[in-house]
Amino acid sequence: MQISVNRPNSYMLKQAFVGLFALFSVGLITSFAFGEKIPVSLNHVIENHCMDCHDDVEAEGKLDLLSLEWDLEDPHIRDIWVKVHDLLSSGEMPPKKTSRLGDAERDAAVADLAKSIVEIQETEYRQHGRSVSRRVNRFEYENVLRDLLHDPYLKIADQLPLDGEVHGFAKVGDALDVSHVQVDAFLDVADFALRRALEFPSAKPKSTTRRYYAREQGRMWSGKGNAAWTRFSLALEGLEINDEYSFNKRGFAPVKKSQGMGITVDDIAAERTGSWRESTHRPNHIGASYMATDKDKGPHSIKWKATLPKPGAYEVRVSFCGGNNLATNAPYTIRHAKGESRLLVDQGVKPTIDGLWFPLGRFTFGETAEVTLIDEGADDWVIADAVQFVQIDDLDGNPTRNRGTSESVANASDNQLAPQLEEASTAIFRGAYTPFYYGFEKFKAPIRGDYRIRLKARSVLRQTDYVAWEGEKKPRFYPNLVLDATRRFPTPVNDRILAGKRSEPVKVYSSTLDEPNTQNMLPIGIFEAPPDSPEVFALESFLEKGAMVKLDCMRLPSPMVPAMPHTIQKSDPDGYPGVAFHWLEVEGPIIEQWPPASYRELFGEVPFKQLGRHVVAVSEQPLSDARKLLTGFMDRAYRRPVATAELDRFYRYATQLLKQDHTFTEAMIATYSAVLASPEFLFHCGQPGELDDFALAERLSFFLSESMPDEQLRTLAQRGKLHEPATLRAEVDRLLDKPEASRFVKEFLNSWLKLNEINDTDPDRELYPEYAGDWWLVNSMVEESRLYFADLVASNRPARNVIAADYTFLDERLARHYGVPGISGPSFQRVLLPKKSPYGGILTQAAVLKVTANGTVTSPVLRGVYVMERLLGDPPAPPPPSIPAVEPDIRGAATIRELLKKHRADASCASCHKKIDPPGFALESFDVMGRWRENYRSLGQGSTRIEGVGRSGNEFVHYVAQKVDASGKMPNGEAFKNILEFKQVLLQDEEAIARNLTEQLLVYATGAPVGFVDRDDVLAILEKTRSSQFGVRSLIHEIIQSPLFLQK
Amino acid sequence: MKQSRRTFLRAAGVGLSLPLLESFGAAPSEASPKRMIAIDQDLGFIPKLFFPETSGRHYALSPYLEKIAAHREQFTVFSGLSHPGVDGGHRADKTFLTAAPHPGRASFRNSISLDQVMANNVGHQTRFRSLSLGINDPRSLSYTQAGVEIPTIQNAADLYKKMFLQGDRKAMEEQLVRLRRKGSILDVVMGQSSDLSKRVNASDRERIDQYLTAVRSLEQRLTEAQAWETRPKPKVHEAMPKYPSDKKQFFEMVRMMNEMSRLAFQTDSTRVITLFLGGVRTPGVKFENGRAIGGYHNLSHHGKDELKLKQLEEIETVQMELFGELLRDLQQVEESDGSLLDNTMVLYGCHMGDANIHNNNNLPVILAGGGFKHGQHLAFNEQNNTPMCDMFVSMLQKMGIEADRFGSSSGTLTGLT
Repeated sequence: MQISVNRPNSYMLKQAFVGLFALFSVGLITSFAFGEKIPVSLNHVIENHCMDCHDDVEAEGKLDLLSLEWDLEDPHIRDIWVKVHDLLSSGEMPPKKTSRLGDAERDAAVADLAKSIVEIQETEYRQHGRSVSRRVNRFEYENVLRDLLHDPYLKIADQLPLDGEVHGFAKVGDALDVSHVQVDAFLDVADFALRRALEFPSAKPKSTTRRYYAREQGRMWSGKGNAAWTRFSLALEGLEINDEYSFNKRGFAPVKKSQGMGITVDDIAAERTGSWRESTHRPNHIGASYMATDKDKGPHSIKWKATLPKPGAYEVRVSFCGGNNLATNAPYTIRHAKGESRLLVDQGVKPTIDGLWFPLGRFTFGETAEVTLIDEGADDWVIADAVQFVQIDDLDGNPTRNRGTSESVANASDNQLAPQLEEASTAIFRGAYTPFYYGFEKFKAPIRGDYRIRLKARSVLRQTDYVAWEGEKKPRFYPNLVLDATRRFPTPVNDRILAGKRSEPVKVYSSTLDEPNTQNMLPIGIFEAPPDSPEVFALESFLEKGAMVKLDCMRLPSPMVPAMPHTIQKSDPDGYPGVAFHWLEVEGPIIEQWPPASYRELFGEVPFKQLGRHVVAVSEQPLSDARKLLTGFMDRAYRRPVATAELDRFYRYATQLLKQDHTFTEAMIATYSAVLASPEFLFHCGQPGELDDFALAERLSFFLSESMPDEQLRTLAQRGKLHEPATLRAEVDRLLDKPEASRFVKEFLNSWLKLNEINDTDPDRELYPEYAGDWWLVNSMVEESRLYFADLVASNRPARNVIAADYTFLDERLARHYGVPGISGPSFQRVLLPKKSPYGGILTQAAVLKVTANGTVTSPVLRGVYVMERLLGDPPAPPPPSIPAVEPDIRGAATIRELLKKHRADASCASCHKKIDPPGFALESFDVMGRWRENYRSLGQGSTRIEGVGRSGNEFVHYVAQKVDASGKMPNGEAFKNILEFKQVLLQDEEAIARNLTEQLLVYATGAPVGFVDRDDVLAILEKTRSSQFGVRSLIHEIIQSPLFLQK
Repeated sequence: MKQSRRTFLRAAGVGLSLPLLESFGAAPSEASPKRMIAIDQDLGFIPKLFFPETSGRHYALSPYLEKIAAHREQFTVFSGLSHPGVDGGHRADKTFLTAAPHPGRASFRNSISLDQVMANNVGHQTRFRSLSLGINDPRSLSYTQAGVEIPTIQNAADLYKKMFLQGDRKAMEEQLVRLRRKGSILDVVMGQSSDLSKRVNASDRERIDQYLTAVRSLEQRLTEAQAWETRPKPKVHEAMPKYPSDKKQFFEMVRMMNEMSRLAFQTDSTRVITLFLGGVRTPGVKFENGRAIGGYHNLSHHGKDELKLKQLEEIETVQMELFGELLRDLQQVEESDGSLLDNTMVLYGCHMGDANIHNNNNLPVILAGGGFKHGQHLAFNEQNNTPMCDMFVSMLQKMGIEADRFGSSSGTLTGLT
């Protein structure tokens, strides 16, 4: 119990108590320093039945009733008295074993205490209303500007400071503080949002349709950064690998001049002796990798041989990357038609041709050519990469390319080449992960607007043979990795491409950012690339100016270390699945309204002209236009008709700016900014008592649409009809069925279930290698929770479904996570769960189980507190400060349960933990991502050692440790063996589940915590919904029809 | 005057709503101004490597403190300090400098941070009232009187530009126009607001009035910004840092932010800085030799695993070395009355006592420089911690602010003077 007693006053009260008792004895009632009277009945009970433990000396459970002031106006002290009330009335206190307290005595004391608290709160409500006037929070501010300015994709919430919360909700006036930081941010984002309305060309842009071939896109190969990542892409023609691109040239556009010239022989194809090691450390190598000598491992040599198309003069070029620690005297020998030439090359220099090649000189060859490099006598490491033989003719400006495709890339816009490119594709074998994302960067949306997008793709399968690594050392990536008894590392050869075995889900998203942040992705849609032949998919999307279309093969691993593709765990036994992309076609911008709606909102019919990259409004009658535009704008912004005096103040400002030679546009933007920073715009207000229809419309709309009232609500408010029960009911149904209701679902769950913390921790890659970089899983978790709750509302399902249900919403990934067979593809469906499935119900949703764990370990305490506070409405007291927390230990020696046992031995911990631990124990059957587990995993010891390479390419070792024990005992002694039994125990009290949900919704809807005096109204809501088994939609209706909602 | 201000400080719980009281500004004398930088190292330290085993002046340095042994006489290391009532594990970063209780709780509200109390008193004398800096994480250590987070500057190059790069005349005038227009918008808002304030009931009025105070406070800041805009910026020899974009270049970022802080003090661009070293969102770190360690946050949940502990120790060792570099650099700047370090209070620590447990007591804390008595390990009770706010009160007083309370303080910290 939280006690915040003002110690300095206690002596005075003690005296008052003493005085009180003295007076009682002669049947008198005294009053306290605060002018309030403690009821006789209550005082009698406290004196005779509580003081043994709860005086200032014992103060058990930190409750010192002797010093506790009788000051019910102080909310903190009142909370303590409410707790006293609840403990007394439930019979929990005084303890049954020792108590001699009679029922009549108890009832009288409880009733009198209740009456005192109610009286105080009712007075407060009369004076101030239940809720305090509040400003909009940052998400509401964003939504309001989106709606007001007809700019549905405006993103500004991130630019505003975090809001204060009460019970986890940023909806309560007391906590929504404001400082200069917010005001400044409000002004900046308003200016930003208003100016966006002017960002369009003066002439209506024509819609065009253009195709962008995957082969032209550099971002299909490297993403951003290390060239080693290009290994996850292959160039295909049909199902044939185009080696030229895939292994040597990387298909970058623009193509470097040196690429595609002459004959290239890479290190892999050369004859080698000695222990060369393969590396990709230096990025500017040719092909998949290069070879480097091992200094202390004896002599090395390498010989590149080529068969030339015709005898003649060739320039010989070698690549060796250049850089630090390389030999300054690497000896190359060229065998040519006239004999041998020996050259010493300084490998430390930067290769001179495109940063890739270093010319050794021109030589005449017969039909074959040979270059040898040894490290004997070399003064440092020697690198051997590729050798290129370029005909002298080619160098004179007429290069002959060995395949036509390079040319196609260079001239991709040439329509004659389109048929060739139609068959060409770029296949991707990985998912997206910062900074290794891929997409069509040649397309950038010319203006903000709607576009139609078509994509051609299919799924493929890459098969690879393996040979053991030649050298003794393994590649530098995994120096400690032991893969088999021979201690040999497999290396891939002979890649083959087959048609895919299944369709591959691909997420399409857009982003203007060069550094993609998964959080900022703007999803366009998901399609499934089919296995048999390429198909075309059509999607529609809004794109910001400059946005490119990016892709994520959702099912495929997201390598996070520069791994080789074959070191990633195979997700399919047959090979590595991938998606071959052919092209992207974009049609747009598709413009239905011109000028755009956001311009009309701000400038009506006022004409505009181009100025730089945007337009400006040009008014013939600036003063009258200003007044007219301002009237309309303020009406909408203030959610009510605006008084002339209010209008005049802003109008005066506009005229003043116009007089100071500001342009019409600038004057209006400044004036609108002032409106958007005014408290009338930012604050929800209302007078104590019944809300008027405008205030009611506001409260209703900010509850169910997270934004200002729409046209219909305003009209009903104007006519004074909204508060009529039938109208209100119809409006609630209408709002719940609007698409904007998804904002309510999202924000309510973000706060109630803390789903906004879903990405706060990542699963440990050592303990949970299978989850690394699996954004599909995390996104699907959140989606399940949202769909589930939206369905509770839409289908008026019973509140007990918060705890348990025999169905949920799953897509393929989540179904796999939950062990539910037979669901494939990325679309969600309502699924009847197998009997005895632990899933179903918010309590065991993966998202909930993830936000209550920290990525490494689960804590029954954290989960227990969450369940008590969020789902059962019985928040436990915070831990006493002097007690050390339980120290997580993943060495495998002790389970968290054993560690907690010690902790619970402490009496001061035990009283709270007997409530907190049971839900936490029941949830121990779920790991940090909410998947079922029979055993813990540890890093130190356990029965079985598990090792391998994780989903992100990281090596891992962990152990299977102790068995999970998910049994427990409720505070009332009822025992459960596992989560299923635990759910049954909770379901015995459906009303408690419904009451909690009602109270959570009430805080969210009304911006005020549910007080003691509100309990009767809450009960009334529950009574009215009992017949629907506390249907969630019914609950929402009754909340809105309740005085708690209808009064301030 | 003195008396009334003292009273006011008490009434407002120390956080002044900053009237520009010239009489309390730095008196024009040769004495160098006092400065303060507070650094929160997000993931803290492995306790047994941080805390010395012996206390007092002749304490034996712990393994981590060995890294800053050169400055032994210029710092004090503390044990047994914490903020009473502050819990919530990671979430306590926002109360490291505010001491507001229960940051982890659903109904948490923050209060003013130490640096902002200082800024409200001395900030008007410099171009920047204060600087709030952060690395790899937008979270801030600085909070206003109303408990609102002050956004951080996340890039040392941006900071350099703000402090030292003089825009051309045109850029300057554009900026002045922007500032003036913002000011005029606020004038209209103010006028409008007072109407509303009259119409609503008392508890609502308190909310509206808070808004008006915020508007007024922004107006004042805009006026100051306009004045500074026309004054030339200081010139420094140091080039603009090339701030890395790779989050794993964490150490390089810390080094650069430290250097910018030193320059900010040296040029008297500000006297108050907070710096949040965001470890939680640092995906991993790269060492100078090119080696990298991944998953800094996960390492801090080492669960006593030996390999994890070893890697974590490597990272924390470099953190200490970087702190040592900052002390060295401050020490090397000479001022009329000692070194810059003598005139700068450097508070370095973490809001968690042990990241593996996520507890918020027995915080690892070092206070260096600033003219305090140093060279000691002040060991307080590990069972019953001393409020860290006692140290904050000592620091406020050193700053020349006549405060006798801050947050959960019980007095000043004994042993520092």
